[in-house]
Amino acid sequence: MSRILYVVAALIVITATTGSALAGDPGDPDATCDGSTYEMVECIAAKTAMWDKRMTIAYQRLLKAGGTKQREPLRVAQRLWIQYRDANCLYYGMGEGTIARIEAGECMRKMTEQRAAELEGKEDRN
Amino acid sequence: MRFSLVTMMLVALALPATAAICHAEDAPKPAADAAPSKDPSNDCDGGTLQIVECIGKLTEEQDKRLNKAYREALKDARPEQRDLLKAAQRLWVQYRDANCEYYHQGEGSISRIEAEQCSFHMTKSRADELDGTDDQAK
Repeated sequence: MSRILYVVAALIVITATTGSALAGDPGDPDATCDGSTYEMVECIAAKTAMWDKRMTIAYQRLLKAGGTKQREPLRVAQRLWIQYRDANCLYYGMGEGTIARIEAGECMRKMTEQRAAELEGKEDRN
Repeated sequence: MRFSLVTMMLVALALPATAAICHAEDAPKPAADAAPSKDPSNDCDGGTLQIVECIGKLTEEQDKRLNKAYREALKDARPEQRDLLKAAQRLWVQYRDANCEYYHQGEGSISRIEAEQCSFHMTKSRADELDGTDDQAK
């Protein structure tokens, strides 16, 4: 049980860091995240923060640009995406060993990057 | 900075706990059929209806793959992971439906095809994730 709480706390920290995007670290998308577990988790979180910003911008633009018929479905989809992301990455976080913490971070980074790319791509087509 | 400190404290707390059960990770499985990178749903041709049907068939195949991969993942999961995987999969289904409905509500008959492609891509990508054929390491 305490482990679940810990992983939840860690994911909240990742999400919180994501929001307050570390000013000094732009989360270079090409940087490889090497080092200790701590360094890797921090580096991956910085990348996630960058993708999260891009995703939010694309989402806001789409909400404004999209037809009225699409606005509500987009809100619903984005809400569900957040719930799905949290549940999915928590599943990785509960895996075995310290690697699970990195996998949970990678899950957040990858999912956010993919969702940003999807929303940005849709933007281009409009 | 405050968050970094908190993270550091959490890491420090977690390391001894997790180290005890640390073991060698299974190496990621190589892609069985090093799939061609191009999108097969683009090969569907004809009128809107035919394209929709054609992509629908491709999605069915991916759905079978996904179900198999999901059952395997459930079997391999640690007991404390099982409910989380079930919850994640339930939310994935809801998210897929909502996301593809968004495409469906777009303008013109192309939106039907886009909704169908949405379903195909999402199902394939989830199957890849669960059976480990996606490029997890980047």
